[in-house]
Amino acid sequence: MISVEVTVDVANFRVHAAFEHGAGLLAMVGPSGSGKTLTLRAIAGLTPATGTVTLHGRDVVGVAPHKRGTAWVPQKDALFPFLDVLGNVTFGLPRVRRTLADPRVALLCEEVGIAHLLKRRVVDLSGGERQRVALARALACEPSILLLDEPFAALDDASRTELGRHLRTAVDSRGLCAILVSHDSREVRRLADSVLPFSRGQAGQVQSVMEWAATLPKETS
Amino acid sequence: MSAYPVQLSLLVALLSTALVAVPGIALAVFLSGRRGVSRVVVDALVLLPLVLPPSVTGYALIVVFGSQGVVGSALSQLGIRLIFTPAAAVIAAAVVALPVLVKTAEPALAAVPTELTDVGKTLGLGPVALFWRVVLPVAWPGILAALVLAFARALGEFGATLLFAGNIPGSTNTMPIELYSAFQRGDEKTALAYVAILTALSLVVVVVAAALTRRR
Repeated sequence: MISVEVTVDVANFRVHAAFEHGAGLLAMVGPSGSGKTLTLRAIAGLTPATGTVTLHGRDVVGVAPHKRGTAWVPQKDALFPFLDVLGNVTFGLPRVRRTLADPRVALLCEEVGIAHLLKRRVVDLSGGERQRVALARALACEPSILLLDEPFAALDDASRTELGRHLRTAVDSRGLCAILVSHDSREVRRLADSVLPFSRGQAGQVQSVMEWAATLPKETS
Repeated sequence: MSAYPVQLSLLVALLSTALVAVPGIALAVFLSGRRGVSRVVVDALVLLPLVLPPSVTGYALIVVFGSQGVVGSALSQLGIRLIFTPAAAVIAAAVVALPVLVKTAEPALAAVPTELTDVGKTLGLGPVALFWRVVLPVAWPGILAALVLAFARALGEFGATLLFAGNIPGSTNTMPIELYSAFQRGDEKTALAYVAILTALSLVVVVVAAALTRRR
């Protein structure tokens, strides 16, 4: 469960968002520069904000990012190039668990469809494989909330579908609270449970996907 | 031609690089992530030995570490004298190598993608762990290139060394100083030998630094 009431000020631009979200996938939607990513960064603690961010009953505004228990999946280029796939997946785990001998690690790699890639260098992976590794790395830490900043943006259609399926399965099987920033209305309709629209730095109300889809112009809906 | 100046120069360059490695990298980290007044001030102080005439740097070192100096007088009470010793040559070389190290390492550190540091932070890394586990492995070739260039600068140091460490044969006569002495007394053969050694070493350094930078 997350409860947010934050204001982010960055270089003459102010973003304000107030919403609550429980288990399931919430999609933040809106045009570029409307404040979606800044709000997501504020939740993770990567951009300073004022207000309150309550993660499972604990206010984390002012808490350093590494102590918040959130996990972050960025748009692209966020695998550690000096580690192999397994090293990336287990990066956030204690040293003794950074091995396939850990049953949870092995299970997770199977679940996300990367078990056959574990010894590969990350530079040799396709875009879709990279993002699945980034998703596995985020899930490995068993985060209290999963934050995804346009993880599909740089992918082709087939890779989008596959990553979306893995994401949906991960959220459902864990009862996870997840927030996804997206530009793609098809993707949002396929994956999200609810939608938070943004416009010019202001977040609206959380809506069901059906309610939100009804507001879209015909050609995009 | 004696082997001592060659050995001394290599030792002085090695020790002075080792001396500035940790503070130099720390300063580069500080500068790579900072804007505003603190950055301008630290940047200017770091750059100063690079732009000052080496003789001015040498004179400043005498003022600080000489027997009447702030640090020198305290050290002399402990029975330690730095001026006109090989240790002075190490300090002089370290002071001029520091800005080369900092200004070469800084862009390598600044080029570490924020996507990687963001992920590292959310995966539970505090600032120190973030440096060791994300920043250093990514920026390492650039930092190594910076250390190599700092070594080269230390190896070639002349003016500040001459003032602060002097030209004492068998003690503080580094290769550049010995080259100057040989030239002064008209010993062209010896002078040319030092020119050849220093040029060859510098060439190796430039090639190594370029290879390391390309690997990035």
